[in-house]
Amino acid sequence: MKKRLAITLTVLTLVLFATTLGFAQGRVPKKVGWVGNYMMHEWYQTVQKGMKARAAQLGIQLEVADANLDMARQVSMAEDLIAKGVDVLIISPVQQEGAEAIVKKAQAEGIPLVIEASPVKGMTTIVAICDYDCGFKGGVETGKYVKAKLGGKARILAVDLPALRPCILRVDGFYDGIRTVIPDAVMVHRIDGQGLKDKALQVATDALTKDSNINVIYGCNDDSALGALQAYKSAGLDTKKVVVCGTGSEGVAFIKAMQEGGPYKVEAAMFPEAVGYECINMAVKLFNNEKVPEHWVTPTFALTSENWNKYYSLSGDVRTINWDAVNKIPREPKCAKY
Amino acid sequence: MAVNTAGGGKLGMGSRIILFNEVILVSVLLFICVLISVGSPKFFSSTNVLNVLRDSSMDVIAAIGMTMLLITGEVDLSIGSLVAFVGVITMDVINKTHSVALGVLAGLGLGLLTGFINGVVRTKLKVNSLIGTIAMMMVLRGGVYIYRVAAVQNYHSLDAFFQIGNGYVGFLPIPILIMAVLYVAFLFLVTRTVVGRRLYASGGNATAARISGINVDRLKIATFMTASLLAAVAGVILVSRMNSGQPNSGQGFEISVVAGVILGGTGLGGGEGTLIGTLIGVFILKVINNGIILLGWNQDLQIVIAGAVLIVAVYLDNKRKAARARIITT
Repeated sequence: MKKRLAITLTVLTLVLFATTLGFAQGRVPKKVGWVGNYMMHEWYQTVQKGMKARAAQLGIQLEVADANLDMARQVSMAEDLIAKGVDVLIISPVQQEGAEAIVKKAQAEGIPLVIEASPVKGMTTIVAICDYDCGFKGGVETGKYVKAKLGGKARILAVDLPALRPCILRVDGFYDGIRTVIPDAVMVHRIDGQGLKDKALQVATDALTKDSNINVIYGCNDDSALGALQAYKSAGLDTKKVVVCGTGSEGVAFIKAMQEGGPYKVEAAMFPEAVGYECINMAVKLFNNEKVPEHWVTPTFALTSENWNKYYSLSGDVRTINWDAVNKIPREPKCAKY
Repeated sequence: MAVNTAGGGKLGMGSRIILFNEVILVSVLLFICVLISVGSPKFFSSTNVLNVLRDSSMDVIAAIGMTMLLITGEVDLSIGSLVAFVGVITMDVINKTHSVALGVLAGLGLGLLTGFINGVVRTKLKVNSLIGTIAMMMVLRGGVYIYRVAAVQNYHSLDAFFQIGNGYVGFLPIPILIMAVLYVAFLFLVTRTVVGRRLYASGGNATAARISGINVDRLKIATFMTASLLAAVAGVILVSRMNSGQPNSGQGFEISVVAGVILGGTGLGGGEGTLIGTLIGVFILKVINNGIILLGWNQDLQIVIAGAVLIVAVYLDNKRKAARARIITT
């Protein structure tokens, strides 16, 4: 009996050792390549930080290329990275249709491919947030604030970017979310700020001239929200009678706005660092031929001016994510809307 | 009174009217204003009028320089990227020095330097200004992202900085006052001084201008510097209005400015154009943008209608030139 137990333990130990040895010697890809969509955008810079941090933890060499919003360039760069021998490829598609060429190329070469942000036909898996759900959470939290502090009536100025489907979903989600708390909330303005602060400022100024009786500002990204807030201030309106909700949490702007104690009270956070982190995790899973879901949802959460510092800390112009807190955020198994 | 033509005939009423570009432009502007006000009574409210003027101020200021450049036969497509870089530099320097004056000087200095390089590239390296300033646009846009990917936030809370873009003198927003002062000064320069005449002479016929003793290269470099300096002023106003230096700001700014100038009757061939036309041209585009939002129309129409208006304006401008040519050859 003792002999059999000893043999069993020895075998188990050897199996465990072999597994560990195998993981250390080859279960983690040596080289992962990422072709970003638009690396000059702060969002992708922050995604990159998360990716680099996770790659460094696992000892993975990460190669980053920027398509700079050019689909042909993205295809070419993906092919270059495959030719350079990356073990796994990650792309943030410039166009969903155009990226199909990369999916086919990777399949032909036997290179596992992780898609980030926008789904592509024929893909194995995508790592992305749920835009509608994220906006919805922001809407619910904003609704609670309006109910508690602003008299319970919501008249909304939403700064959208209708050229991008994710932004439409965010605004739709926000509107649906706020109406769960304030059923008669009114969308007074839904304008196109092109995702840029200067454009948002410009169009929000005109919209407020048409009707300045609003008490909720929502932006499909942080710049949109902040641009509209500037327009509101510039119009001489009372900042104590409005609440602002931004989306994305791509930089320090929203933190600074919350720290100021003004009307910027809610942030529908998307934690771009976590998106990058999860992309590398997914790359490892695919490399190991693990079964993966078609959509791996990354965390989103409605931060408020009271709780943002549980998830981020700020030192000067540098913010640091609190991984423990972010990793505890419950994730949707799938998005409510695509 | 009829106007005689080369063919011995007389120009009709329509032809006589289109001789006066500004008359047409003002008519178009008034027509658009009336149309919008029918759909939106708030259009003529003092708040909206001041908003449109304040929003136009940055475009008008930059358009003054662009008009002068186009009169000399040159163009500058780098001003949108310059506006972004000036905003980032201005905010960053103010954050570091706690001095609005130093921040503004840094921004304006970048403008002057950019204009000087544009001028030298055009006059000494003989690179066409369309190509040279597109290259500068890329250098500046890439440069500002290298300098700073994220927006530079306001860490100072200096009231003087806020006042530049958001303050008032009496009931008038400060950007409108800055625009008015610069406009009057440059209107005087272009229409009442020898410098203005030299601009037209250099653009109309550079060889003849050289023969008559004008240092065309020096004049063009100075004009490029002036245009960039004015664009930098617009950048300083914009950064104050936004309360942060945004590296992604100013996208398409150069197009809207050039469109306003061309709409105002300044040709691409050099030697012609007026600042009065430019002022009205910029206002027309801004009023269209404002009206589309007030009327609740699809915002994509801002681009479509502006493009259509531009085509009509250039068509009328060609008709005007043809009518004028017939008179000259009489």
